[in-house]
Amino acid sequence: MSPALIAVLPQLLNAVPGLLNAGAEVYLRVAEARLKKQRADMTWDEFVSAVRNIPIGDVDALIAEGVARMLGQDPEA
Amino acid sequence: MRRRGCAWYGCALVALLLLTGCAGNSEPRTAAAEAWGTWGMALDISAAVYEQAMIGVGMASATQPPLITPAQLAELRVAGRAVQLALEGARTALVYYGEAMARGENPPSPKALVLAAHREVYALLQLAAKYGVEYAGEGYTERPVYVGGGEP
Repeated sequence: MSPALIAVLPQLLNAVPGLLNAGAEVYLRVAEARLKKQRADMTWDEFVSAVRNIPIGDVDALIAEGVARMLGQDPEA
Repeated sequence: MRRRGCAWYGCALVALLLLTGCAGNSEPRTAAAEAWGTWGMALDISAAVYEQAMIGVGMASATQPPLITPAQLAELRVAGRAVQLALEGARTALVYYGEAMARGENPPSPKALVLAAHREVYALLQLAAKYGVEYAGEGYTERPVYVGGGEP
């Protein structure tokens, strides 16, 4: 088992008890997909680029997207 | 957020995670790949979960009658904002860390900030579950991981 996996798994496993009441299945599904996409030959410049591209939405925009989705509206409109 | 049955489903996915992770990580890896697989991926996962949770909050507030009260919506919004700021702080720290490593320096680990963002996400999820908010998982789509520059 790789050092990265050894570092990640305890976090995920420790998180499970707290997440079982809060959607653990979705959290772990995302984690499993991310693990499959790890690249072995990544450079530090690529690392910085990948981190910069992690999307973090504004909380109000995300709430509005949920409202629009529930009302059947296009949040981009 | 669906509660029923998620314990067993979660355990099954942890097992799947172990299997697929072991199979996919047998080759030699660069230090940057190790850092991405640990802290970058952890931040990416947390950001995805946060976004879907907040979309779920918006959906819960728009049902007729609303699933959550205005006071609960305000509380969830504050918790969500805390997550957003924690995630942004961790992302900035990871960028600085990667840039310093690229210059051959030995920067301090970004571990503390990434784990702090994790804790904020957990608190948000627990609060959302407490108020019966459904996770926006039905609309969940896998986002690609962009590597190598350029805008997504």
